Amino acid sequence: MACILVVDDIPGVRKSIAAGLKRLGHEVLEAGNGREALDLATGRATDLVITDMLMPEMDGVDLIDLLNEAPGKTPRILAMSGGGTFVTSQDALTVARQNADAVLEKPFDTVELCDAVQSLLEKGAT
Amino acid sequence: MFRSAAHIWMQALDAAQVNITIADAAHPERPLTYVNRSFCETTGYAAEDVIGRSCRFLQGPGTCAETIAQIRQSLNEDQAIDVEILNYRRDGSEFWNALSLSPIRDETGRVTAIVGFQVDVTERRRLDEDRLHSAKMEALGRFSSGIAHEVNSMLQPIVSLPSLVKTALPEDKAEEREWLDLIEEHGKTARALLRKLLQYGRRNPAAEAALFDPCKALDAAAVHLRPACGDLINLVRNQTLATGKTVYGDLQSLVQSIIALGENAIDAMPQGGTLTLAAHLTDGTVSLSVQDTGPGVDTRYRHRIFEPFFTSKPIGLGTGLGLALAQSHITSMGGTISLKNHAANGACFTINLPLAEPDTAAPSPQFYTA
Ligand SMILES: Cc1cc2nc3c(=O)[nH]c(=O)nc-3n(C[C@H](O)[C@H](O)[C@H](O)COP(=O)(O)O)c2cc1C
Ligand SMILES: Nc1ncnc2c1ncn2[C@@H]1O[C@H](COP(=O)(O)OP(=O)(O)OP(=O)(O)O)[C@@H](O)[C@H]1O
Ligand SMILES: [Mg+2]
Repeated sequence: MACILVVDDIPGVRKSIAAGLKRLGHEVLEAGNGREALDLATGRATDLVITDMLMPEMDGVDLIDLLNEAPGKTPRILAMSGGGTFVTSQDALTVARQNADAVLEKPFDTVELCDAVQSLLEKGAT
Repeated sequence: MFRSAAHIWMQALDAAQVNITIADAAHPERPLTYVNRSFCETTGYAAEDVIGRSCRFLQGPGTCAETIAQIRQSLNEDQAIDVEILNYRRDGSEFWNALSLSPIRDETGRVTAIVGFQVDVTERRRLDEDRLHSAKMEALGRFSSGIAHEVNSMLQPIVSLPSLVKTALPEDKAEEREWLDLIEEHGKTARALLRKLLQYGRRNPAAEAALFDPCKALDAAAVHLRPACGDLINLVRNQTLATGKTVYGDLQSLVQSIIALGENAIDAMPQGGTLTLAAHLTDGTVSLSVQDTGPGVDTRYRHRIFEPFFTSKPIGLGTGLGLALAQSHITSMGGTISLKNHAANGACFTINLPLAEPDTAAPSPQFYTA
């Protein structure tokens, strides 16, 4: 059992991902953007962060950077994206592939989610 | 004096670079009374074969009936008219004809003759169409990339939750289980459509452009198509192009384009037939063609098949993106894609690509990034 933080600005997306993870027996935290995610992750041992790339307040790229800079154990990062582009017109999926340990293309089914989570957790947090 | 002036006029008409025709207005058929040399050269008809006939012999199966009606109406009302009309040469080949007709009146104002000027504008139209197509594709790319993030997120619960609910459902709820399968299946169909659309938005072939052997593309496409041919379709290779030649662009895009043509060919032969993949080299141009023995492309909509979303196939079987995507891939490589329909032996799509020598500077085709 692991502690997993799910970050997406759309509550329905967070909930449907959390549902699958809870079925596997994981503890799940939810955040609506990068800023909220950092607040939740600070001072807590999070094994895995599943994050969207395009979000208000703080996007996935900044969140991943700050998680990597933070002292202590850095969680594994699973980025998810439905495509689209940043204001810099960079493609969100390409950016996701460059910044995360693994990437899921939205929408993904529960089997794809579980497989990706499983293999990241097996590698362990760095 | 008059005779020699008339003689010079006739010589001038014959020396002109545009096609000039004159018809008798008194007769309801408006038979041709004169055609100049350029007309004979560009259409392939001899003057003696066409004098006395209505010029409609240039029209054919692909000619727009509305345009013909417009001409007829203008002639009946003694009005001048400018149109662009699809015409056919004597050998059956098509060309776009910019036709300008003007009535000639006598002293009393009665129309006695009609003079027609014709210019072959096929090349200009092709360039216009390519530009329009690129602009459409770019807009489509922006649009799909714009909605992708939003719509894909909306689909997330629809694709992921049904399987969870199913495992929580009591054994006897077989019907409910089916409904959940339905939700999941349709969600995944929507996902597939959106992913196809996104290929437009996400493409930046300039990054992948390199010199490669076109035979490799044909081989890769053949490997992919063979299983889809099944037992009914015979896959044949016809290749005079030697390996080791190179073209410039993105290999994967070319493979995808050939596959799209091949899949269409297979779709066109549900009862079976022959799918021929050919590769030839003529005058520095590599031609890769995909030919089937189906019914050919229906002339009623053959001018629309490269439009994104144009499909004649039932819902779920065709999205109408295959040819549109292939065309934008090929134009971005500096090539062209064209169709020859043989009534007797199906459709033949040909991709023409300029040969690029490894030791010369690579051409700079216009890539567009959406
Ligand atoms: C002088 C003259 C030149 C013409 N040239 C062409 C031509 O190049 N291509 C064409 O499709 N129609 C041409 N037409 C039109 C056809 O001859 C015909 O008028 C038209 O098809 C409409 O009549 P219809 O409905 O009886 O066929 C020309 C007509 C005239 C009078
Ligand atoms: N070889 C062919 N023979 C007959 N008709 C063809 C052939 N190739 C294409 N067409 C016509 O052109 C249309 C457009 O083709 P295109 O590949 O763009 O879309 P599609 O095959 O309908 O759908 P998709 O390729 O997106 O699954 C087809 O629906 C069909 O009517
Ligand atoms: Mg197709």
